[in-house]
Formats: sequence, structure tokens, C-alpha cells
Amino acid sequence: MLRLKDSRFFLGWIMTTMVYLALMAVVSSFFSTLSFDKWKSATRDLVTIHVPDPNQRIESNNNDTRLDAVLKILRTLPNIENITILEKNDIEKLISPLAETDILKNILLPALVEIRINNREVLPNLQSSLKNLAPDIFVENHAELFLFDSKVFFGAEKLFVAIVGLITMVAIISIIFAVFTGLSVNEEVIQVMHLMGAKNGFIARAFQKHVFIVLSFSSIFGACLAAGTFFILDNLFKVAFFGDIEIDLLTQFDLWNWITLIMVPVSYPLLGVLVTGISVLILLKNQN
Amino acid sequence: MVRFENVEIRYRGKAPLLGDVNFDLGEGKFHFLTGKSGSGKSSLLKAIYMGLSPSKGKISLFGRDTSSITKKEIPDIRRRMGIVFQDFRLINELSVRENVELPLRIFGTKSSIIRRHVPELLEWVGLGDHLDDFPASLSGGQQQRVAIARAVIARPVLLLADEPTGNVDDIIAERLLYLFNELNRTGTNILIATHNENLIGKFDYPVLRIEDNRLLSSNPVMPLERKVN
Repeated sequence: MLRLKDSRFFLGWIMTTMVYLALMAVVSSFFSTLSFDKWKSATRDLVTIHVPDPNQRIESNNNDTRLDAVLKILRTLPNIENITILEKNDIEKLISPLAETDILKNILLPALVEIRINNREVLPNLQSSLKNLAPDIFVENHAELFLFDSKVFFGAEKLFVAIVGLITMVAIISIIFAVFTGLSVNEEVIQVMHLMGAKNGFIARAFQKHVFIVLSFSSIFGACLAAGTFFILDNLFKVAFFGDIEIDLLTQFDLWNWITLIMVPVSYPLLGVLVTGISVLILLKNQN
Repeated sequence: MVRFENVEIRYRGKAPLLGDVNFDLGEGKFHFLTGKSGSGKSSLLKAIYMGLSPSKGKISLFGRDTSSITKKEIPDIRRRMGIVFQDFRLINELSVRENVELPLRIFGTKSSIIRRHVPELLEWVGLGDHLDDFPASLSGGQQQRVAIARAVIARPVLLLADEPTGNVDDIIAERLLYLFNELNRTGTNILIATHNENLIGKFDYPVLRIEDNRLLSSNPVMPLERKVN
């Protein structure tokens, strides 16, 4: 009964864009969190011991090599499990981004021993034992490295939340603008309806119905676009950043992740209905 | 039903359009309201449907003083009225059927009842073949009948019609008046504003006449009357 077709195109495209951007921001947030969690869980209890000149023998220690002496200490200490000596190839692979292949061949690489600890209290004891053995043996605790990284990740997560908030705000402003325009365009019709005894709630419902239909289609379309973009980016990122390592974060989304993702396109039409209802009632408050 | 006591109507910053208006429209009555163009007929109707507040005096509608009616209550009061506007005010985006359905939709009437009553009424006003036409495709007289059908579809207690015959020829005008007469017989109170003296003369109904910013009446039954000289 109201002439609202004019706002369909404008509101439809704006809301499609908003839903698309909101979904991309939410998915990005999930990805960063899941990537970080995956990385963290893989390295949280990991400690790497750098043993320079590993074949050098230590007279005071039964003439054992430095590496053997380190391994003996590791085997005697409690709360240490899963001792792995990294192969030369693995070490070269780790250092390769920092040095050229020729240089790698000419330098004496340290031995790297990866251990998993099940109790952090063992670390001071381990560090002092290894220092006594040779002062240049270095213990790299990955948990400490994560302190800075985790701040960056949580900052990124907050940024994504802020982006979703901004997108929602723009969506709300667009809806209010569409309502305002719709009321202006339909001023005479609304006046007639008022004279017939229409309450503002009735007019608000007409607007809400229109906004709900437009936003539902926009949300579905925005969600489809986001899904398409997401799958393309997901595959590109895999190739670009992880190479031959299989990292499929999509399969790691839990139920809550999926519910949140579904809630984005579902919530926009509902939010639209709410904002429209309130806007119409406020804008028509003084009209009768 | 409608009672005006010493009512003055003036638009902001202007001289009074109508002053010292007194009349009482009883139940089940049919009245004409006449006067020259610009005499204040439409403003008087506007004051009745609460589109205009009096600058002085008291208006009572259905036993209630309009000054005590809150904004929230206005729709309920208006639902007891049907209004035929001089310029029809049909909604061009809606079909004839949808235009006439509108008051019922506003009142929350069941769709099954709407589907049954609207075609019946449109048939009665001679527009049974134009249900799905849009107002722009209709003649002035047909639009007038759509406006009337829309005003009466919800069986109002009071029907206000502003120059309902202004855009039609005399034959159609007379037919419309007979239509209003039928409505009045079914219990609807009718107040028709018109400057068509010939038409008024054909019916024996009381006439409220506006002259020199005053309301005069030809009906001696009305308690707050001013008789035409």
C-alpha cells in the first residue's frame, strides 16, 4: 500500500554489501583465532634447545659430546617428554629463509633438540643444568615468544569486532535513511491512512514487512557472495602461506562458529525490522 | 454525535475563518453543509475529523470533548468515521479493490470477510467490473465512487463527504446522493459539504449554511441553531 519500491534497489545493495563485509570480517576473525589456537596448541609446551658445536667433547663429562651430554641431562629430568633431535635438513629448512644455501653449507649449524614439557617448573632447573654444562647452550621457550604474538592476535580479533560493529552501524543508518525517505515519499498516503484511523504501529508494520523482504534477499545474496569469496581466498591462502602443509581451517569450525556465521545474515533482517519499527514510530510520533 | 459550541476556527496568524459556530448533529441524521467556495466548509469538516483544532470553543465527538482526546485515542475516534475527500485521495499504487480494502485492513478485519464484502460493495456502487483497475485508469465519477466505497466499507457511524459531487455531472451527482440516502437509511449519519444548491434543493434534508464566517441553519430541530433569515 505504500510506495517503497524506490528504496528497494538502494537498500538492497547496501545491505548486501554490509552482510558480505560483516561475514568476511567474522570469518577473518575466526580464521585468525583458529590459526593462532592451532599454532599455540602445537608449540605451547615446546622448548627448543640450541646446542652450538654439538660434536665438541666435554672432558669433565666422561668425554661425551655436547649433544650427548645435553640428552643425558634431558633424560634425567622429570616432566620432559618427547625428545626430538632435528635432522640437518629440517634445520636448514628452518634457516633457509634467512640465509642462502651456499652460506648454509659453510657454517657449522647448531644441533636443535625439541622437547615437550608437561610442567613449566622444570624449566629453571633445565636452564641451570645446561648452563653448567656449557654457557652457550640456549633454551628457547616458545610460550614466552607467544606473549607478544598473542597480544597481536587478540588485537586483531578486537579489530574485527570493531569492523563488524561499524558495518552494523552503517547498516542501521542506511535503514533509518530508507525509512525517512519512505515516509517523505508516502507522506500523503500516510496522512490518508491516519485519517482512516490507522495507528502508527500499522504503518510501521508495512515498512517492517518491506524492509524484512528486502533485507532477507540481501542477506542471502550477501552470504552467497561471502561464501564464494571465502572459498577462493581459503584456497589462495593455503597455497600462498602454507605450501604443502595441509591446513583446512574450515573443517575446524565448531558448532558455535557455524551458528555465529549463520546468525550474521539472519540477524540483519531482524535488526532491520527492529530499527524500522522504532524509526517509524519515532518519526511519526507527532503525526496524526 | 457531533456538537460544536461557540467554536472558532482560524489558521495560524490569520483572521478567524469561522466564528461562534454552534450546531448539534443528532443520531441517524443527514445534513448538507453549504456555503461559497473558501467559506470554511472543508475546515469545518476537518475540525470534525480532528485534522484541525478549534482556536476557541468546544467540539464534542461521540460524547467526548475533543480537547480531552489524546493522540493515541484519535485513531479509534476516526475509525467511527468515513471521509470522502474532495480530491478523492485514492492511493494510485493500489487497485480499486485494494483501495477499498484499506480501511478494513487497518481495522484488522479477517481476510475472508474482506474478500467477501469489498466486491459486493463495489458491485453496489457500479464498479464490479473495475476491481483490479487502478485509480488513474478510471473516470472522475468512477474515482468518486471508489472514494465513497472506501469511506463506507467499514460501516462508519458518521460519514463526512467534502464536495462529493464536485467532479461529476448532475445525473451522477444525483445518483451519488441517492447512494448516501441509502446509507443513511442503514443508520449512518451523513454530513455532506457541497455548494451545489440545485442538488440540495432536490432533497428534503436540513442544511447548515456558512455565510459571513458564521454557521446558519435551516433546521429548527437543532438545539444550537441560528436560523436562516
